[in-house]
Amino acid sequence: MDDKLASGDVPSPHEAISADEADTLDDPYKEIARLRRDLAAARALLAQNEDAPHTLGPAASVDRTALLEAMLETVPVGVVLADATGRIVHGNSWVERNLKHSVLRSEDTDSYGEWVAFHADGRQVESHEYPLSRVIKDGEDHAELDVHYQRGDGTRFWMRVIGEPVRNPEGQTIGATVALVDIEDEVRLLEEKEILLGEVNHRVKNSLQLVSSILSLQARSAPDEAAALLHAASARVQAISSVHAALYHDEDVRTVEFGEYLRRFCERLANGHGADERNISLNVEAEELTLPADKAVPLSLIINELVTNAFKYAFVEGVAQTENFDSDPRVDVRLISNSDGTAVVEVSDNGRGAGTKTPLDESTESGLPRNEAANGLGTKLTSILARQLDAKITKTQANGWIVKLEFEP
Amino acid sequence: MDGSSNWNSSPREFGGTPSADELLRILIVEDELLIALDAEMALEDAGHEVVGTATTEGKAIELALVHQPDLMIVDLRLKDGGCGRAAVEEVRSQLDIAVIFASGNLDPATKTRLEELEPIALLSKPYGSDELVRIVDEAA
Repeated sequence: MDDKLASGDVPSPHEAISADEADTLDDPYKEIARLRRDLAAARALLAQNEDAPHTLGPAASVDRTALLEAMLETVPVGVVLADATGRIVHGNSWVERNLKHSVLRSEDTDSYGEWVAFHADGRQVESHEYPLSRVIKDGEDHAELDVHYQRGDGTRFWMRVIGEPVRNPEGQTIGATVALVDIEDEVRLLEEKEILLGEVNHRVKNSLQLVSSILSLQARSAPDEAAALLHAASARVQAISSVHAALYHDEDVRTVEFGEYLRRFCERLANGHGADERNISLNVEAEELTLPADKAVPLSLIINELVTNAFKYAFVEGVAQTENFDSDPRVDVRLISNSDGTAVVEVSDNGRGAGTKTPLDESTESGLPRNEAANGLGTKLTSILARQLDAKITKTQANGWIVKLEFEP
Repeated sequence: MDGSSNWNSSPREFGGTPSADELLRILIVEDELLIALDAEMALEDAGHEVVGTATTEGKAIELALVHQPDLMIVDLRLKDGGCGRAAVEEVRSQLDIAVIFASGNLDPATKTRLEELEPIALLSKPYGSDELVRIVDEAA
């Protein structure tokens, strides 16, 4: 019999575990792959039993069943077998050892609820949700479910349930198998990762807050001109940190929904420049646009420069407004997501001063009083960051200045 | 009067709305002393009085009960594993004091839990001291 098993197209169960695989038993995916091969071998054995019972005789059939069961004991996961009606006919000793109750011989797919388990939200897993039911009743080829299983002693652990149908050579489903894998470690590591990420995030924000506080403290004790420079530096730090804060707003920490962010960010800038007291209105029209962090940070810095300059220089007192000029001072920010995949950010004002345009051009026609040092850096920052974004930047004069930034998100 | 509905719909009215030009007596609860100092100087520049700075949960409760400020500005994570929210809950069991929470971790779940305490504002760290002053002035 051994000769026959080891030859031809019937894989020997002993070949199913190779030496290197035995070393990596703690990898559940390798275990599952191995289990699949074992099950394939078992199916082949069963098929052979059915094909040639008369030549091998009942004793050989009993031997094979014993062999199959022994093989199921060697795998480091739980294995449960059901027949075509869903009746549970077998479970290996892993089940009893790890679930701390005997294998429940559920009558059919409607009785699987007697295996008590819970979803992450605390809802109990219902019979029809179990992978075994899904492959037998719903005809799925493969079904998986992670559950918080309640053991016989009342304790719970995280377990992955993987179900697959067993088909005869004609393709009819003659039963199904499930593998039960202990994923407690996997789940715990994931939780730890989330906690660590939260911790790092908190540290980063606190550190950025410290930087901002130190700049602000220094500005308070500095002479006027230096104070203005320190405030500008502080505002740039804020532009970076507010993107950082936005990164953690949703599930994905690598991206920012820039439309929503832009509204809040510009509002903050407008408030900082006393828009209300000065009767300057801010209008932000932003479409939804998801940006990765490495685009969102430079873009946020550019917008900081443009919007800040609009508020600082466009509506300077003492510059006469002409008769036909729009009377209500306003700053507009638009974010448009084009159908060709590019995006446009437009910042404009309707002031008479250099305004929005300032960071792009150091020689302003209006000859407004402005801080050379601060503006020089603003210009440089804007053009360098636009280059980093591969953005095309254009300025036009209408009522005030319009600066348009076109880039690929 | 229908105070209860106002209470829910408008957190700003917590403890009664002070008159427009009122300056506030404020307690700062923050374990990073440089951040606290910046906030303190900015608030005092704006004319408010900072009655003290607490870095721990215990000290926050003690100073709040002693000084009975109009407003507490509270960081969520405090020294020695202290919790700003717990400090506010304890203080609120004895006194009606308005609160602004500041934190580097305002995820939706945290937000929901903080909003139960009807703060004047939730400030996401990092914030600028000018922003803090503006919110405090609006509340005053």
